[in-house]
Amino acid sequence: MNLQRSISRLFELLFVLLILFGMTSSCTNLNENPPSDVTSNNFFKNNKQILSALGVAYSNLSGYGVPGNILNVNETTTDEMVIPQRGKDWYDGGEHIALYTHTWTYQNPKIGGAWSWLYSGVSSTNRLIYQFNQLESQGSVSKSEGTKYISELKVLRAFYYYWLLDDFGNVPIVTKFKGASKTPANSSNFQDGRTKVFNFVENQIKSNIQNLSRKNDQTTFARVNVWAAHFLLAKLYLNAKVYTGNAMWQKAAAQCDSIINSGKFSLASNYFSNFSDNTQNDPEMIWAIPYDQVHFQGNAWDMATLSYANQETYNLTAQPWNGYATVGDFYNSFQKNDIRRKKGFLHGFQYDSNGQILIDHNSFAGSPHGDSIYFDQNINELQPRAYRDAGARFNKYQPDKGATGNLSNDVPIARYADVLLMKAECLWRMNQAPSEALHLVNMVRERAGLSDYQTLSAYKLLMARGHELYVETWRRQDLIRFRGGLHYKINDNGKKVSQYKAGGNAFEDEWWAKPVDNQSFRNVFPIPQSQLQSNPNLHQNPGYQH
Amino acid sequence: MDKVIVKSTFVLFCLLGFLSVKGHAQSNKVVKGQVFDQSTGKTMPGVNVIVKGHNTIGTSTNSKGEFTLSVPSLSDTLVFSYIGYQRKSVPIKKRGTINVRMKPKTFSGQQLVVVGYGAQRQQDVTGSVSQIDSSQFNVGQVSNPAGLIQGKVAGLDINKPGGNPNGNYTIRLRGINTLGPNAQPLIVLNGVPGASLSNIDPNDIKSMSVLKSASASAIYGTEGSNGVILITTKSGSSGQKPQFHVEYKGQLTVNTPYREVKVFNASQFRNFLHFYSKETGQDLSTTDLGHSTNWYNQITRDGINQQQYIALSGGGSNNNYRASLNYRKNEGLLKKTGYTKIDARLRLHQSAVNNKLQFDLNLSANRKNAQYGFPQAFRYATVYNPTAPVKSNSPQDAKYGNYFQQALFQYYNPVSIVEQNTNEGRINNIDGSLKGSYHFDDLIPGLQVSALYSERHTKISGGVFYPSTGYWRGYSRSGVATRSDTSNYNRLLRTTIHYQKTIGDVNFKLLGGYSWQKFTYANFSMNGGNFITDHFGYNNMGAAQEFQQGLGTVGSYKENHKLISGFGRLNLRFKDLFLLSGSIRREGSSRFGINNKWGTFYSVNGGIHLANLLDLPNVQQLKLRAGYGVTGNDAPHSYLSKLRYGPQGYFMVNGNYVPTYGPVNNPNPNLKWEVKHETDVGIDFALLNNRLTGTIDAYTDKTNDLLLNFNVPVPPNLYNTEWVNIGELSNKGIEFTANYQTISTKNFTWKTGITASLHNKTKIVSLSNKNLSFGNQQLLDYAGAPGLTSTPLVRVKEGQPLGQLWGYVYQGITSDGHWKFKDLNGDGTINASGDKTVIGNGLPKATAGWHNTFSYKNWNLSFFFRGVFGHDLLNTYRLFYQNPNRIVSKNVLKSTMKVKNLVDGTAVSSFFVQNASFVQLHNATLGYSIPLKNLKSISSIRLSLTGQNIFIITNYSGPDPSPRYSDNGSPLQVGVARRNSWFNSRRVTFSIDLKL
Repeated sequence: MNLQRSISRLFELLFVLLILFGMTSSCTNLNENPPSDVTSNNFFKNNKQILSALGVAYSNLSGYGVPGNILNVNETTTDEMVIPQRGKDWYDGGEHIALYTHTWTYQNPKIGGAWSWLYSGVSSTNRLIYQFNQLESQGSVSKSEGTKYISELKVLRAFYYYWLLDDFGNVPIVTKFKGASKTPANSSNFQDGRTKVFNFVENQIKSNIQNLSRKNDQTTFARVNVWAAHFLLAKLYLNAKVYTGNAMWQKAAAQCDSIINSGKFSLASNYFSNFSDNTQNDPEMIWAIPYDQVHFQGNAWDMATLSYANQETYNLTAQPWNGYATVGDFYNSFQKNDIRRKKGFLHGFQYDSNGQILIDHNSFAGSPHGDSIYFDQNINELQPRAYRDAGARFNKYQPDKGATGNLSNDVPIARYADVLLMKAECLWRMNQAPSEALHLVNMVRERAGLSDYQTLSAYKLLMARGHELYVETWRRQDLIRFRGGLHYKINDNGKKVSQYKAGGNAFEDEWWAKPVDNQSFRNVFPIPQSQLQSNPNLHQNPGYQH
Repeated sequence: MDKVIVKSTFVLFCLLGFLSVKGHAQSNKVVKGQVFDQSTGKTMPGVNVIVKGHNTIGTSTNSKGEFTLSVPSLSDTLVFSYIGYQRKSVPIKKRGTINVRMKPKTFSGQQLVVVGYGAQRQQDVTGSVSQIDSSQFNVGQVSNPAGLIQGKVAGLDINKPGGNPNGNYTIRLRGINTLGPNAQPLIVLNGVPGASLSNIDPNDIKSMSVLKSASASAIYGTEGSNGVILITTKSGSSGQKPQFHVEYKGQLTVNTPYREVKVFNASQFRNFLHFYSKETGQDLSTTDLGHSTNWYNQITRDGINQQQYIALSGGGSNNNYRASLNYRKNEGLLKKTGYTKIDARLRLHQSAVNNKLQFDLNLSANRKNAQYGFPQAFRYATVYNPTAPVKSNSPQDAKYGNYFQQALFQYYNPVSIVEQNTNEGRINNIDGSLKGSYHFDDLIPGLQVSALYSERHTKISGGVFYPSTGYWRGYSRSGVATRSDTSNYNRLLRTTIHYQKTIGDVNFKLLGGYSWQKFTYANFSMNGGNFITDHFGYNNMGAAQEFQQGLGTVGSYKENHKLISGFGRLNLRFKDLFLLSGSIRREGSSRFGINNKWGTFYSVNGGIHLANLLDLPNVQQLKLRAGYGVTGNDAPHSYLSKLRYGPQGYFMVNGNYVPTYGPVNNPNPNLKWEVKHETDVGIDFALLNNRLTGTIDAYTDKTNDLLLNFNVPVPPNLYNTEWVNIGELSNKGIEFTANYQTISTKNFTWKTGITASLHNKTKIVSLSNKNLSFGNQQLLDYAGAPGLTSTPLVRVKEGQPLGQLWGYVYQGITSDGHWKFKDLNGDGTINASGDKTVIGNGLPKATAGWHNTFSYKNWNLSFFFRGVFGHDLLNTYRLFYQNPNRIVSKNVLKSTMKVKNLVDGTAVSSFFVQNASFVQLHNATLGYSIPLKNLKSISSIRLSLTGQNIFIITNYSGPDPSPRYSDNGSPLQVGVARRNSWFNSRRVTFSIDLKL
C-alpha cells in the first residue's frame, strides 16, 4: 500500500514536470527561416551574389522581340503580322482578331500582358536601384561601382518607360521601391501625362549616359552601354512629334551620329547573322537579348509560326502551334530577289527532314493544295476558316535541327541598320543632305541584294523600315509616325496595283482584311482593365472604356 | 431568421420560470409520507404532491423529502411529480402514511459523442455535432473513410467526380467558407489533428464525428473553419475475464464503366459524315478510315477489386488491444490504373496504479503502390475517329510503336496513351502516437492530466515515363522521364488538464491545454528526356541526355510550418436542464507576419432540455441549443510574409551566362488569420419512445479577412499578385436529420432516416478593402484549346453569389446555321463585352440522403439514396465536341444531331450549361447471417451483396453530375466540368464477414 502510494506520487511529480516542460521549453517561437530561398539577411554578401542580383533586370527582357504580349501589341496591330482564326484554332476569345482589326478593348489579354511585362521591368529595376543604394551606403559596393550599376539600371528602366510611353502614353511614373504609393496615379490630362513621361525618359537617359561603358565588346554584350542609350534617345526624338506634338528630327539625327561616328559599328555582311545563335561578334549589334535554349529561354518563334507538321522539318522536340503568319500584301511588297524575303519567310510546300512533303490530315475542305502543306502568302480569310496552311511564316529566327520550344537565336533590340534608316529618315524629314539620306538607305538595300534607289519618298522609307526590321517590334510606331497613308500595295513585279488615299496616319489606314479605322485614340492602347481594377488612381486613356 | 430563433429561445426561458408555480388546498384528512429516489434511495425534496381530481389541493416535500397534506377523502389518489422523474399515482387506500419511490425518467442521449479533446453524452452537446457510428456507414467497396459518411451528415457535402481509384474526395461543410486552398475539414484521428483520410482504413473506424458549427469547432481554432471530422478507431474490449476476438472480412468487387459520354459509333459517324459532306459540299472521303473502333471499350475494362481484412482484439482487466491488417487490390476501369495497398494498425491500452495511470498507443503503417494512369485518355477516346484503327502497319506509324496516329492539334490515339506511357507511384505512411494520462484523485478529485506525442511521416514517390515511340509526349524528346519524391513529416506535442466537479446541482467540466505542432514538407523532382533506349523507364535518370545538354530539370524544395496554441473550455450543467459552455484558443502560426502571428478563437454555447422541464408526453428529448463561434484559417504556404530571393534565370556577363537572383514573391508582412464567425441554433429531439430522433440546425456565418492571392498594381509591387487578407464571404442554411424506427417486431424491423440541407448560395459580400479594390467584376477560368484559350467561363463579382457561370444567352440556331444569342445590350450585334451574362451557378442549393434498412429474421436489406440539387455544370464535353464541323476529322457527341446544321464554331453560352441536380441510388445491400447454433467457435457469419452507384437520375449529360468546387485549384472557379475527367463506375461487391 505504501509502495503503491509512493509510485503514485512519483508519477504525479513526473507529470507536473512534463507539463511544465511542455509549456515552457517548447515555447512560443514562430520565427521563419526559409530553407529553399534566401533573404536579404543571408544574401548580397559577395561580388558574385551582388552581380547575380543585377541580372534580374535583364532576365526580365526575355519576352521582348518574341511572340508574346509586347511583340503582339506592336506587330499584330500592323500590316506585317497576322494571326488568323484557323477554324477552331487561334480564336482565343477574339483577342488576335481584335488587335489586327483595331477593335481591341481594355480587356484584351495581350494589352494587359504588355503592361504587366513592362511594369515588372520597372519594378525590378526600382528594387535593384534601391538595393544598390543600400549596398553602396553599407560599403559592400564601392561608390564608383555603385554609380555604374545604378546608371545602367536607370537607363534600363528608361527602356521600359520608353515602351510605356509609346504603347500607353500617360502612365504613372514610379521610381521608388520603398515607400512608393500603393496606387500610383497618372495624369488626369492625357497629353500632359504623356509629355511628362517623355521628359522623364529623356532626363533619365541624359543624366546617366556619362556613367555607362563606352565599350562595345563582350563586357557590354547584351547590356546597356553608351551606344544603347544613344539608340534609345534616337528612338525617343524620332517619335517626339507623336509623343509631345513637337518634332525633334535634328536631335534624333544627332543621336544617330553619335553611334555612326563612333566607328564601332558596321552592317553585318549577312543579314541573318543578326538573328543567329550568337550575335556577340556581330558588328551591327548594339543591344541584343541573348536567348538560349538552356540559359535564356523565351524565344518561341519556331513554336509560334511553324505548322504542326514542321516538327518533322527540323526534328523539333515540341510540336509547333501553327499561328503567326505574315500578311500577303506585306510579303508581296518585297522585291522577289530580296534575300530578306527569300530566306526570311517560309513559303510554298513544306518538307520533312527526309524531303517528303508534309501532310496535314486536318486540312480544310477546299484547301487549294489538299492535304499537302503549302504556305500560301495570300490568306483566304481572316476568320473563321483561314486555311491551316495559309500565310507565309516568319523564318528570321531559323531553328537548328533538334531545337526545342526555346530557340537559341538572339533577338536584337538595337542594331546599326535601324540607326542608318533613322538617320536617313531624319534628313529626309528636314529636307537636308538628300544624297546622304539616299546613301544610308541604299547601304541597307545593297546588303539585301537590291539595287539602289535614286529618290526617296515617305512610302519608300516606311517600307524600307518594314522590310529591314519586320517583327522587330517597331512597326506600330513607324506606321503611326508616317502620316499620309500606306501607298504600298505592290505585286511581285514591283508594280503598284492599288493606291490608298491618305487617312490619318498609316496606322489608321487600311490593309488586307483591316479597314480604315480613323480612330486616332487607338494610337495608344487603353489602360488594361485589370490595372484599373486594382488601382483606382489610374485615368483611362481618351476614347476607351473605363 | 436566426435572430428570431434566438429571441424565441429567450422568451421560452422566461416562460419556464413561471411554470414551477404550485397550487394550494384546504382539507380535513391528513396524509404524511416521504419520497425517495428509486435508483439511489436518497430522499427527494421539492416533489409536487397533489390530489387527483383536485388540482388546487397539493404541497411539496421538504428538505428531508417529507410531506404532509390534508386530503378531502382517504379514498383519493395522490399524484407525485418531479422534474426528470416519472409521474406516479398512488391511491391512499385509507393509509395515513405513504412512502413513495420515484423512478427517474429515461431520456435519450446517454450515448457518448466524440467532441474536441474528449467525449460528451449526446444530451450534453450544445454545438452542432453529428456522429455516425460504424453501423450507419455506407456499405460496399469503400476505400476512403469519406465514402463511409457520404450523404449521411446534413450540411457536409462529400463528392468524388468520376471513378478514379486513386482520386480524392472533396469535402465541403456548409458551403464555401474560404477562397484559399485549405477548404477541406480538419481530420482528427484518435485525438491527433492533421491526419490524412487516405491513410485510414475504413474497416478500422468505429465512429466519425463531425463538428459542424463554429461553436463546436472553435476549440480547434485555426484549423476549425471548414469543420472538423473526428475519427475514432476500434479498440479491444477490457473485462474481468480475458477476451479474444477475431474478425475477418473478404470482399470481391466488379467495377464497370457507367455513364460514358455518348459519341457516334463507326456507322453513325459515317452517316453523319455523309450528311455533312452533302450539306457543305466538302469532300470528306478521306475522313472515313475504313475501320470500326469503339475507343471507350479499348481503353476501359471491368476492374476486379478485392479486399482481405483481419483484426485481432482482446483485453484483460488492465489492458486491451486491437491489431488489424488489410490488403486491397483495386483495378481502375481505365486500363493500367489502380493500386494495391496494405494497411496495418495497432491500438493498445494499458492502465496501471489502480487505473489511475493510463497509456494509449496508436500505431499505423500503410503502403500503397498506385498506377495513376492518364485521364486524358477519356478525352481523346471521346473525339478519336471511330473509323480509325487502333494499330497500323504503315511505315509512318512504325515510329509510333505501330499505333495509328494523325498529326492534328491535340489529337492522340487514346489506346497509345494508356498502353505506352507509365504514371505510377508509391506511398509509404507511418504514424504513431503515445498518450499518457494520470488521474490525480488522491490529490485533487476529478483532476486528470494527459500528455500526447505523435509523429507522422508520409513519403510519396512518383515515376512517369513517356517512351520515344509515344506520339503523345515521348516522341518529340526521344523519351521523357520524371522522378519525384515528396515527404511530409508532422510532429505534435500536447498536454491537457481535465477537471470535473459537481457542486450541488451544477456540474463543472474544465479543460486546459497546450499544443505544439511542426510540419515539414520537402520534395525533390527531376525531369529529363532524350534516351537511347526506352528500356529504363524512369529508373535510370542519368541516362537522359537532356541533362548533359542542360535541358533536363532538377528541383528540390523544403518548407517548415509551426502551430502553437493554448486552449481551454468550461462546461456547466445544471441538473439535466440547462447547459452552458465556452471555449477559447489562442493560436499562433509561423506563416503570418511578425505582428500578426497570434489569433484568438472562442465560442459560447447554451442549451436547454425542454423535455425535462415540461412534462411532455412521448417526448424523450427536446433540447434547444444556440451557439456562437469564431474560427480561423491558416495561410496556405509558409514564408509569404517575407521578401525572399531565388534563382531567376541567367544573364550575360563578359560573354558568359551567370545566374540571377531575384524576389520570388510579393512579401506581405501584414498577413494575418482569416476569421469565420458563425451563429448556430438547433433542436435535438427524441420522440415516441425514442423511435423518432433527429436534429434541426439553422446557421449563418461570415468569413472575414479572406486569404486570397490578389491582383495588385506593379509597381510598387514586384509581382501582379500578392497573398492578402481581403473581403468577406457569407453563408446561411438549414439542416435536418431524422431517423425513424418504423416497424419493430420480433422478426421484422424497418428503420428509415433522412438528412437534408438547404443552403443559400455562398455570397461574396466583398473582395475589397481600403487599399485594394477587386474592381467591377472579374472573368476567370479560360475554356481552353482549341480556340477558347482566352474565353472565360466564370464571373466573380462583389455582392453576388459565388459560382456564377458566364456566357451568352442561347436562343436557338438560325436556319442558316448560326448561333442565335440574346442581344442583351440591344446594340444589334453580339459581342463578348456587352452580351454575356450569368448563365448558371455551380454551387448546389440542397443536398439530401434517404436510407432504409429492413431486417427479417436472418436477412437484411438496406438502400441509400443520395441527392444533390440546384447546381449547374458547364459541360465542356459538349462545348468542344458537340459541333458538326469537327466531324471533318474527329468524332463528335451523338447530341450533335440536335445541332446538325450549325456552321459556326463553338461559343460559351447557356446552351452548354446544364442543371446537374441528381438523385443517385448510392448503395443497396442484401445480407444474410448464417444461423450458427451448432458452431461454438464462430460467433457470426454474414454474407452480403452490395451494389454501389446503381443508377443516377439527372438531366446532366456529362459523365458525372457531382458539383465541381474548384477548377485549376481556385475555389473562385466553380461549376466547370472538364474534359479530362474520369468516367463514373458502378460497383457490385460480394462480402463475407466472419467473427470468432
